[in-house]
Amino acid sequence: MEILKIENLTKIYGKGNTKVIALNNVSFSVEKGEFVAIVGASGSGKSTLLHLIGGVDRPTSGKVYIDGKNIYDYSDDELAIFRRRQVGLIYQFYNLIPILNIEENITLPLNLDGRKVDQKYLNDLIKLLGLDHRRHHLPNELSGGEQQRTSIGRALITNPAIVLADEPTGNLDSKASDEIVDLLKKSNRDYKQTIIMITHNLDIAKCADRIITIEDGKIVKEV
Amino acid sequence: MNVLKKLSIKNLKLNTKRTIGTIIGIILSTSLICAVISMGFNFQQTFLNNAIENGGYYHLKISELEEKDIEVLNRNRNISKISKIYELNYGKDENARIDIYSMDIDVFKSRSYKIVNGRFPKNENEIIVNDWFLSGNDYRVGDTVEIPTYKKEVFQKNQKYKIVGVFEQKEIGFGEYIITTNEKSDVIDAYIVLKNPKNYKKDILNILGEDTKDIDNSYRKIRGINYESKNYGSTYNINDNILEYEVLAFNSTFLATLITVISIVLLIIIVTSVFCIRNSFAIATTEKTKLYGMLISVGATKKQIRKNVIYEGFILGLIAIPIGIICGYLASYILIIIMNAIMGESFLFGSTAVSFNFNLIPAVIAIVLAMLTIYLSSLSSAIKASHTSPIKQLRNTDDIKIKSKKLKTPKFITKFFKTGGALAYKNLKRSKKKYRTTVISLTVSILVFIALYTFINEVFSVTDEIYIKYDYNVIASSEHNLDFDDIDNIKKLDGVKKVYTTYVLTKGSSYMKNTDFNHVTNMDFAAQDCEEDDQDEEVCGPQYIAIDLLIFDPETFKEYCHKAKIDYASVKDKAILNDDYSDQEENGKIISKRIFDYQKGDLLPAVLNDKNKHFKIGAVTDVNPYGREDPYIMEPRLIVSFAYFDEKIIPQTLYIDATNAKEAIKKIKTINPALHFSNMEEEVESMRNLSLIVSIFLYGFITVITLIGITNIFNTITSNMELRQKEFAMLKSVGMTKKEFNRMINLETIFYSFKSLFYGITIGILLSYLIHLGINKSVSLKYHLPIIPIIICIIFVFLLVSIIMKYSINKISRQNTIETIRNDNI
Repeated sequence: MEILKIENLTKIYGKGNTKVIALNNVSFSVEKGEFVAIVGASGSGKSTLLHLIGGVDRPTSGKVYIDGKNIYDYSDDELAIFRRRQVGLIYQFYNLIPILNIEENITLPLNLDGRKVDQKYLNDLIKLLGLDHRRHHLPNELSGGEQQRTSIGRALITNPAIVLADEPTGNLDSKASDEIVDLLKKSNRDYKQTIIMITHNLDIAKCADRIITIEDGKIVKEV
Repeated sequence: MNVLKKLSIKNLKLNTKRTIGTIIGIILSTSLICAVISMGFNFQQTFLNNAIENGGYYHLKISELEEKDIEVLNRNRNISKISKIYELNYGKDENARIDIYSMDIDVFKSRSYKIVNGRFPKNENEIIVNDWFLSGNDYRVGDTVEIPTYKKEVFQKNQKYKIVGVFEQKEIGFGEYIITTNEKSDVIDAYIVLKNPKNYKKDILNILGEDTKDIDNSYRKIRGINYESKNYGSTYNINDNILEYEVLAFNSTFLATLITVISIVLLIIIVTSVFCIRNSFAIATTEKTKLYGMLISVGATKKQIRKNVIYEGFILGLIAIPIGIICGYLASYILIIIMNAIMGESFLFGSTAVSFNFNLIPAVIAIVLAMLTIYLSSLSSAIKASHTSPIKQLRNTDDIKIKSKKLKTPKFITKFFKTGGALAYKNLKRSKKKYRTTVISLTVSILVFIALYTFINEVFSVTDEIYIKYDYNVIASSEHNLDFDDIDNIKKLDGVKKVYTTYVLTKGSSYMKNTDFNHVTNMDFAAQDCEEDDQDEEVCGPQYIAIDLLIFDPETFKEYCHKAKIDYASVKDKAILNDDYSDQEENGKIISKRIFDYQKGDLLPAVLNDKNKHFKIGAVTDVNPYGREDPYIMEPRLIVSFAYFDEKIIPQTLYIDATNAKEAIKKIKTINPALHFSNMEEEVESMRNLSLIVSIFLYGFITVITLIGITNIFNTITSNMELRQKEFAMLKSVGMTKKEFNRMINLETIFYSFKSLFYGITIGILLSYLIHLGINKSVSLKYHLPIIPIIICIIFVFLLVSIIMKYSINKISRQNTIETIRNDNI
């Protein structure tokens, strides 16, 4: 079953002499439960693609269908609500709220939605992330790996349609990187979580079911 | 509690200094608003108390009533109380009326009369009298007096009364006044107090039997001179004094001015406060843009972000506003204590101390205005926060708006300030918005300080200017109660240096008429009138020039000649003409002109009480004589010595130069208690005290506004420095020395300070000149550039900005460079 469909997605920044075509007419689709890696050189348009899929930015033209709905038909508020329910975003630099503890950071999307937290699910998730002993600590008391695991927890708490990970291991040492990749693989394998991950590390990319290569805003290879 | 509210509270707790700074700003603004409005109410109550003390508490007086009229009034539901005073006597004396009234003691007290000696009468054979009656007739308490009584101008008998007391009344315009009790007459004065003074127009119209359909129009009619009301003719009198102060019935420009001034002051406070609080919120929003970006990226809606910002404002308001209200009332109370200590009992020439009148209205207005201020301040930040682009914030690309045009650094900057200076320059040019707030805060404080400093100085100078013109500090006057022995005794008193005496004719007026228009240079001074000519036809036009005849004794005349630099011997038997006035030419310049063109040796014809007289002019001078120093009473004066004046005269006014005015008045009272005194020292002291109080208010006001400004500046500079931590850490990591770093910071300080000083001083000087023009409509003073406040501002601004920047830098330099660069969770 198709969970994601991109149609002729284009993103242009600036005008005239400073015009930059970050994405140029990109089209592809992702099946539910697929683990897709997007690779490419720096400035190739990978992050732009990811943010457009997540509804964090709006395209110049093109459509993004998630679960059959074109997300750019939504208003800003509808998009925000969509994002907290259907999309899990993981960033290279974690982007945790510094004044919320680990548990609060993880449950943030649910709290924004005004939904009650399934305490059993939360406990299981925190255990899975290996953060049981750190749940009441603040982000600045954690290592990079622990922070990124928290970020994954936040992305998974709502059981989103898609998890989008932008260079999730970019800021980590090899051991922490392995932990993160394992977690992502586990959530994909055991919970059929659809994951799209950007990486410049081919070894990590090989863990995915499919690798899409982007160059100068266009898909050049699909493996 | 929802996560966003939790976030707000945690954020406020985390950024303690900025939170406290904002809270202090709100407290200051709220307390200032509350204090200003509270003082307005305090003044209102004080003026009301003063009015009551001077004339008693009533809203409407109706005279010449009979008992049946009183019964009708008693049935009027709009009336709360009627104080009845029975007029017993239309007595006439050769020199003065003797008014005899009957009232009971409650009415006596309600008229604000005070017993100074003895007691109130117990029956109709006893009287209490005023000072005028007692001293004018050489009576004492305990004496029995015989007073001729009249009924409707017809003599009845000589009534015997025992004087049992003496009272004092503040109302002016009284002669001898006697009060008894238990007697009635069919001529009653009713002093009416309304039940609901706020409804005064309708109620007064109702009482007078006038039309209440078009209230404003009808009320205007009844205030006309000699208007005959339906029920009571023209024998009514509305107590404007009380109504003005009690219900703010604006018939007086003074009260209207007070309200206007308060409104302007409130506006300045609100604008400054909105500015300061808005700035705090703007800083908070800027610091949290990354946070907002994160929240939006995980699905927070714009509405949620907006609510979050406004909720923060709500929390701050909840803490700060109640404290501000309490401080405001406290400040108002303390100010009153200070004012009363300085002014004594001479507040605004009345004798009531300023009273503290607790009223909830200042608190209500302050709360509403403060909440509005906080809401407006947070709203713009809330909208900005909700429009944060998550992408830009997560990528940190929104800090600087890159322009395609290359930014060139002026050569002198790099030459004198090197790399550090160049960096500072580029930073200031590229992040203009961040610094604008600091510059504006500083500018506002500077120009307000300069303008108000000028205002205070000008007010003090004007006071001095007026005082200097007088050669005396006590004026003692009398209506036919002063004799030559009194003057001699007064001159001999210890502490009396000089006495200048003016005289009046025993009969008739001292105003003469001059009809020789050939010598008049400006016919505007001619009195316009209509008279019948020989053919019994009415002719209207200029009829005469009024001349003020001043009669001095020989010593006073000699002193005046000395003052005016005139040779006494040559003019002692002649008249001195003083007829100059100030005129404004087309170019705006003020010059001195003369009303007449008579010269020394000319004969000035005049008519004095229907008698033709000719005065030989011995000298013409522009030096105003004693008692006529006011340059704005423009009429010609003729000064003569009574030694060479062939009319019967008596002394009227003494202008006394005493070592101590208060002491002199005390001593003179023992010689002639019937004299009326003006203590010029007291008046000037009152004016100076008033100026002092105005200064206290204004300096207090400047201080608070400056404090709000400083809070603002502190917040802006420290937060800007904190936001640049990473930048500073990076500069250090690539090898910038401490010296270079300090140079960069110093240059930024200089830029800030210069810019704000330039704007602040320029606008401040402009405002000070406008203030000077405004005050100097009445007195001509030279404009002086406000050098002192400018120097104070320069020193203050540089000091303040350096201290705050150095404080922030010290804090930052304690942090580890690498951690700062690495740490994205700042």
